[in-house]
Amino acid sequence: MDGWKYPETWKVGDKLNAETLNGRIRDQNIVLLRRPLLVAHSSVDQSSPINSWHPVTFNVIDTDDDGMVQETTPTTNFYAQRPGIYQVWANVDYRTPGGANTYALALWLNGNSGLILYRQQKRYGGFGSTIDFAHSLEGIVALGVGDFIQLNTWNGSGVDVLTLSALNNCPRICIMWLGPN
Amino acid sequence: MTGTTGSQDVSDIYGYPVPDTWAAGQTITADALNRNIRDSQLFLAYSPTTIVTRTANQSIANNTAVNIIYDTEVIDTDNMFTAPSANVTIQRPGIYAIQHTASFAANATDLRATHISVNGVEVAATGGYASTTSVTNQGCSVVLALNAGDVITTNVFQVSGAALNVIAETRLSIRLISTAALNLVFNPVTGGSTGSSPTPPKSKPPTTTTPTKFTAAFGATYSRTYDGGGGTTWDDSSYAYQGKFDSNRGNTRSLIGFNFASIESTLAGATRITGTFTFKVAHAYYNSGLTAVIGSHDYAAKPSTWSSSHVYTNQIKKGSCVAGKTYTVNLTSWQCWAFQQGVITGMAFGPGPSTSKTYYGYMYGAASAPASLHFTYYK
Repeated sequence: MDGWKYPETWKVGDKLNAETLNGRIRDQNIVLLRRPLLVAHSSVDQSSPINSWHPVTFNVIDTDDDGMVQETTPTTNFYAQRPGIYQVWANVDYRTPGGANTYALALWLNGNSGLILYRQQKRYGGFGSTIDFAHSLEGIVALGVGDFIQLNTWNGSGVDVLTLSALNNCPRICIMWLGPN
Repeated sequence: MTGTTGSQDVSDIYGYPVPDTWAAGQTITADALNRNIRDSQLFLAYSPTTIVTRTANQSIANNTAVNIIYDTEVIDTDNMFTAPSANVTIQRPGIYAIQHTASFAANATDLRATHISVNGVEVAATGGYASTTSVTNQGCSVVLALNAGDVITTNVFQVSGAALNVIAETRLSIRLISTAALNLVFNPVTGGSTGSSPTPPKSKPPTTTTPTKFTAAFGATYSRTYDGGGGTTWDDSSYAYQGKFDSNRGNTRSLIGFNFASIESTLAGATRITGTFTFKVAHAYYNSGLTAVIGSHDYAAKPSTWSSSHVYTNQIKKGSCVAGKTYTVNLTSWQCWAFQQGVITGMAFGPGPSTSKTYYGYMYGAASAPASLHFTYYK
């Protein structure tokens, strides 16, 4: 998609013609009406190893208006192509964890565990052999060009590799550019 | 085009812009185009947004609801926040998306909870058992209609048996997602809002001046390279190294200095600041180029040692940077703000995120082909 063009201020003497109408009204309205969106999910189960962070992989790119997927699929990283404010939503299903332990879902900036922007992490699960649970998170983040978003899970069971279910289009991530602030 | 050149900056728009209804025979003036089209576009694009975080620990008493005091402002486009404070104050009516995450220090005992409140009334909450192995993080969110003057707070609760810290990673973000009727009144019983007047106010009359666009450039004033251990490298040349070549120097990194006081004074009072960082690669290990790992720092003078507490590493990456070529990357919105506020004073290269030689190489520092910062802003 086209980048955001700051609308030039109209001045006395400016001509009202196709060029100025397109450059100062149409181009901005296009971006504001259809803000760049990325939606991706995983159609296959994946394993979250014991006591370590696991970058969630996405093999299906449902929508990628801005070319945020820069690497071959399945991918873990989504790169900002324009500076600004982004809304992120994410959801992951944890398959029947055997016991109540610490499980987490975290939004990392630039693949850096020291730059976790949003996280759900608490003791959960252990509801029986047939019951999943899920973590979801959402947050507004400020990104520059080249910054990338990465979703990570933590499996604190201590004994069992945990399956992240390919269920209900999850794991799933949605990233929408809200504005150039 | 006739009329004056009046227009409004986003922060000057009262309430929010309200397009007039065009009338047959109306003269299309610059004023009319600015107020009815341009200002609306700007308001939609630069909607009021605030993100605040807690970077220092805050002690939370046992079995007591405590407001989080936010000490760091990431972005605040509508003057909703002044650090340090527990309060984010809405400046104009509308529908707001509010998202919050709280991080508790490691402690496995019992429950934790966190809440979002409006004017002291809880509107969203989450809770659960503490992590057994590490920190506990909880988040919640809400979409609400709010009026000017409404105060957003977040408060946490824990029953570990003793005082427990809320730590970095705790943050609150608020963005206006739609305009709404003017006289919204938050209802603490229903958590909803009512509006007695469906008609919002007109935009302020056009001002007599138009914000002027400026540009400014600043060349590097110093550079210095540090070994993996943080000490000044034996070869403190005019080059700025990053990455690991061998174990003698380890994973090198470097600082680039600028006249930060001049940058700060130049950007004082400016709005809509954007910036770029330009550098020239002197050597890359691979012919295909290196991945530049770019950060920023807050040293007031060239230090003899590198301390990670003064450097924000790996904020921007630029791949395939080959020797002899010059590259430009966009500064993040935070970096632009931080230069304006004097929070950062210069740029940094490295260390490499790994010891892969993809990251090894060196850039020109402050001597020949000096690195430079370029800002575009409005006053």
